[in-house]
Amino acid sequence: MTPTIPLEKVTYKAADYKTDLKPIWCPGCGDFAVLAAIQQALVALQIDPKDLAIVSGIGCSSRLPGFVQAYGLHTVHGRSLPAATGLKLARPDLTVMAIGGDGDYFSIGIGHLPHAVRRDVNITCIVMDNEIYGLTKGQTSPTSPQGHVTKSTPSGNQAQPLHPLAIILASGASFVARGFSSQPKQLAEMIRLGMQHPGFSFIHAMSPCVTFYDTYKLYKEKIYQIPDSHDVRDRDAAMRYALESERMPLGILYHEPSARVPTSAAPSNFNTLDYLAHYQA
Amino acid sequence: MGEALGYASMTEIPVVVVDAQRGGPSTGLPTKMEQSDLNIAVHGGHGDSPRIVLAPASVAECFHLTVWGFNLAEQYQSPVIILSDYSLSFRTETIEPFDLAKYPVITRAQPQGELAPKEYKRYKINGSYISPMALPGMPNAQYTATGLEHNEYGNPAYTPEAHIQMSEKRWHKYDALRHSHEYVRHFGPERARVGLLCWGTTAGPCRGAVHLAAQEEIALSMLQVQMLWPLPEDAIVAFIDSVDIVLVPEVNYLGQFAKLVQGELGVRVKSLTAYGGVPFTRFDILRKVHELLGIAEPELV
Repeated sequence: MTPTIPLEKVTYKAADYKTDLKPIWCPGCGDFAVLAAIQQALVALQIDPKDLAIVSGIGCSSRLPGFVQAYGLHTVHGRSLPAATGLKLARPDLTVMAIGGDGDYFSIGIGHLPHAVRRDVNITCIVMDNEIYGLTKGQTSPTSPQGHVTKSTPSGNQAQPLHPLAIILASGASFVARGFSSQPKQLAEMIRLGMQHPGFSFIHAMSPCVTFYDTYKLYKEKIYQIPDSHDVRDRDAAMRYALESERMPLGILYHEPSARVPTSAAPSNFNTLDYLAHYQA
Repeated sequence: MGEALGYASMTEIPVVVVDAQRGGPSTGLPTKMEQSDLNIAVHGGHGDSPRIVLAPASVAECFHLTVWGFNLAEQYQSPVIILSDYSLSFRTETIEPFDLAKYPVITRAQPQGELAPKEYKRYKINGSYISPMALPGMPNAQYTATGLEHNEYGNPAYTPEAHIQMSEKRWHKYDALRHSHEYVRHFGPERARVGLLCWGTTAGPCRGAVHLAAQEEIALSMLQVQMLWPLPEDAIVAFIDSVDIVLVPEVNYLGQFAKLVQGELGVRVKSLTAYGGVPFTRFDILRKVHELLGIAEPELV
């Protein structure tokens, strides 16, 4: 459970992480709960909004940075991870989150994912997965189930859905978790733990689209909690959870506490002017 | 690349991109030079996406123009593209040592003093159209840099008023550059019968042709344009007025720079193109000057 902060140490409340912008999401969208969970995690960690940066791509969920009191980078489709990596390398003092949806991260931007994992830069990555392209009004996404009828697949989706967490695990991630927008407390806890993890952390946030693919009922049937007996350092066991299709395990799949050394900025002994002096008379 | 450049134009984020041009389209001639990325450098990207395009002609200019590039990117909060080419990027030249003291380092305008909550306007409209840019870590200056059209606060805004206001802001901020005489180099006589208007490494053979013409007592001058966008209009018009015939030599099929000058300035110029993947020689250019002036080529022994 989220540790309780003594009242005298609470500087930032949830309201301090909100902007005046009203989310564009449909009433009932799972992304409201993810937004609230992020704000809860920020309260738990008491992150100063001026030192927080949230990077996103394109999609309904990628509008999130505008709703959080933080420095936001609402970039182009699929490219939030390169931007977030660059930002964290240039400014290791900032808390950097990269967020977006399944279209952004598992389709156009999937090429960046294994490399962000490999580089293990200290970024908290939250993907809001609704298994559909909602912003563009309901086309099949890389996680849509086989046979799913959408505007882009009128005869049913022929392609198999991806298992994103398996890709993340296979790439060598040290923090991999899954939450569900209908279980906001657990989701906030996953995000908090991910933010405290000193390397790249990945949180798969199942977040139904009420308008184009309402999966609330389906997910509530599929979900179950990963038991406490699961060894979070057992990658093979984590992989079995990641590859499940019929059911949807929630919780921490994998957490290797001894992550690689966090990335620091350029070596401090490098001086550009000294280097250029080599070319001077 | 075009999508991210458009994002930098829209969000007014400084960034410097180097494009060493090779023969295209597609993989084209990957080990040959060409000057055929001008159109995409100037216009590439969806929507009206302003940027600055610089073109060095020599190894020394790669250094000068890269410093300019970073300074311009910072000053104008703009993407800057440096258009090199294959022949230049693999070239070794003997150059004068750089005097680093002569290079100013410009940093972007930042908000001054303490800001009250909700006071900061990232895209504030002011006289220069360049708005102070907050950096993460500055209190009360949080904003989201979005590729969506936005208002002065940076919040998404799709109204006609917002798009008109911000389009004008994004383009007007370069006005001073259009009237600048800093980003061109003139060689040869002040008035000439033929003037070579060139850019990038084609400036090399052009200078060679100017020297050869001087030996033949032909009045040939040249203007090397180092900033291709925004076009330094005043300097180019002054040059065009100083010559009888304007010839634009460049290594691409279309005559991209000639078309750009004609389209922007409404003048007629003569285009000389080479599109075999190899640069001009000074003799190629002099031969064309002879032709324009009706001078018979000397017999080769």
